[in-house]
Amino acid sequence: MSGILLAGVVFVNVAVLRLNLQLDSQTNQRAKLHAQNQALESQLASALASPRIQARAQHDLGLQPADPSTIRYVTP
Amino acid sequence: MRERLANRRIRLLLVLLLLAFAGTLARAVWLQGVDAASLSAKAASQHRSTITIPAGRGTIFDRSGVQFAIGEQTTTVYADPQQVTDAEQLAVTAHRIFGVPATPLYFALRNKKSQFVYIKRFADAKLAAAFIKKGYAGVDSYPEEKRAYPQGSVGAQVLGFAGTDDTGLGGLELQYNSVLGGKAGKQTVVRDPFGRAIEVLSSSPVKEGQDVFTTIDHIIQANAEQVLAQTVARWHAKSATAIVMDPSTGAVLAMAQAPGYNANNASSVPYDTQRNRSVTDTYEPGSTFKLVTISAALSLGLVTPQTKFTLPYSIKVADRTIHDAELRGTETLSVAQILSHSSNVGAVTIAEKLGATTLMNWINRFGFGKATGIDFPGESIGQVLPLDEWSGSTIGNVPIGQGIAVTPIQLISAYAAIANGGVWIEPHLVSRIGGRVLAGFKHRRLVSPAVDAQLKSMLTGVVDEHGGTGNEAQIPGYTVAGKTGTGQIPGKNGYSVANGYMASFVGMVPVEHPKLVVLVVVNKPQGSIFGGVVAAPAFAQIAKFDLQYLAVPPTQKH
Repeated sequence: MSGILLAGVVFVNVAVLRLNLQLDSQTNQRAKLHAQNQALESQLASALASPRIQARAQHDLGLQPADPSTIRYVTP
Repeated sequence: MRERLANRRIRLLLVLLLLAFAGTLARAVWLQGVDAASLSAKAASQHRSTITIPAGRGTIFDRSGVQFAIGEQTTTVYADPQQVTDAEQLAVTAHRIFGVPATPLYFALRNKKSQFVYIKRFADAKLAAAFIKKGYAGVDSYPEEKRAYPQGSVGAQVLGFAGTDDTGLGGLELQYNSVLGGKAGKQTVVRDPFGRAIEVLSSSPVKEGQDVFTTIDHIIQANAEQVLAQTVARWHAKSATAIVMDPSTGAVLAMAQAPGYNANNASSVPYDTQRNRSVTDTYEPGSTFKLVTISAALSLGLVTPQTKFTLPYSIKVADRTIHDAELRGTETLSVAQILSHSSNVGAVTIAEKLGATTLMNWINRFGFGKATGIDFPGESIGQVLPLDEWSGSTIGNVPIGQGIAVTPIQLISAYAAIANGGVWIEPHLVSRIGGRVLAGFKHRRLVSPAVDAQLKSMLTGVVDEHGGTGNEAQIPGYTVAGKTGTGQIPGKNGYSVANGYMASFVGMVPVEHPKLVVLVVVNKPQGSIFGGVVAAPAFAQIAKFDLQYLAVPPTQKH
């Protein structure tokens, strides 16, 4: 009887240890992904920066800001 | 005989065993009793560790959700010189991977009195991992967040900056530091020989910093900065400032400045350039201040827009002679014309009808001489001379914006009130913190709707009328109302041409239902000094772009 009890305690402890190791690994993974996500967000925001897009549109594509007088507003 | 010998040997063995047992027992008592505490501490230090889990600093967004300031995860690599075995190789590798100067690092690593030397702070995580993998003795790392400003120079002076320890040190970063910062967590873990956590003994949760959503629109902001840079270059000015505001809410859509700088390099930029002059600096507003005098006279029923005055070119007030900007003969001008032609003599004549006390009350009513309450650190209240310190000539200065200093945010708030039907609203830069929408901004009525309509009509004349000082502010398709200002910069010895001028224009558009109020102030322009020549075209450029961007339909037919 006590042998079964001892085996049960050992089994539970091993299971807890295994879960803790998994938890540690998942936490590290989460931190890495969070860091990568932040870096990507920062890159995206830099890429979306208005002066950068405008400069590229003007220099690379030869685009110019539209003259407001050429815009027609449709009113109901 | 042989039996006795055997018994002696057994007894000897027994004694030896007893001695060994006693020795072991004594050692066990020593280790578990006398030395237990220190050994237990040593063991704990080997497999237990308390780690600080840093709280991520909140992101600052523009009003459309574009990131202005964001936390980037980096790795800081450091060494304990007392543990370092090969300082030379370590320094060379650090130079190769991180690009840090090898020689100073080498000498720092050789200093065995020190226990901590940064090899590379805020290193790229991948580079840091590659460096750590080399397995140098005495080298370790920890994660650290670095503040990044993806928009570069856009809104740099408004955003301010966060220091190396991720604490806000200027601008909105400082103003909202307590909400952006969050609270670091702690965790005590037991680690196995491979460094893996096998048990968490205690932990306190991390409280992440909250995101802050500004009212600034990055596109309107970027355009305003671009126009200011062109204006400064065109007029060889020292600097320029512009604010774009939504008059119906008091939300600041842009707060721009030239020269600007890249917010990511704030530490290498002079403080003078970092200052957000729209809030912290004052200037003499010149004729844009005539609004206060005219508003007061209209509200008190002393004049109407049609009331006429016969005005000489100059008048004497106490020991000072006040004259108009351009030489002319004696003319009869209506109040509306006094404003549209920006007549100093006319404004002072009206102010004399008001009297000093009443004028002072209206200066206070418009909010000059006190902070607007904008959510930005270091707001200046301006400089308003107390009534008991007024000299005989003060009534000849103040009504035309001399001898009084205001901040750009005070002035645009006053004009925004006129655009908003006469109701002043507290200007603000942030609309939401996390999920909490900020509301309840202070507001108060400055002038009645009737007076407001008269003021709008007169300010339209400044831009529309032939001979109005603000003709350069016209925008095809839209009715613009505004006022030019040319203020002298006082020096140590009073006013002189050598000190230079502040050229400004403040206006609202479309005047029928104002969507925008824009103020442009140009510091020490060369070639021309007049607000109508220097600042009004910049106003038109900024407002024209913004109207198109915000899809505000024209109010006039082409």
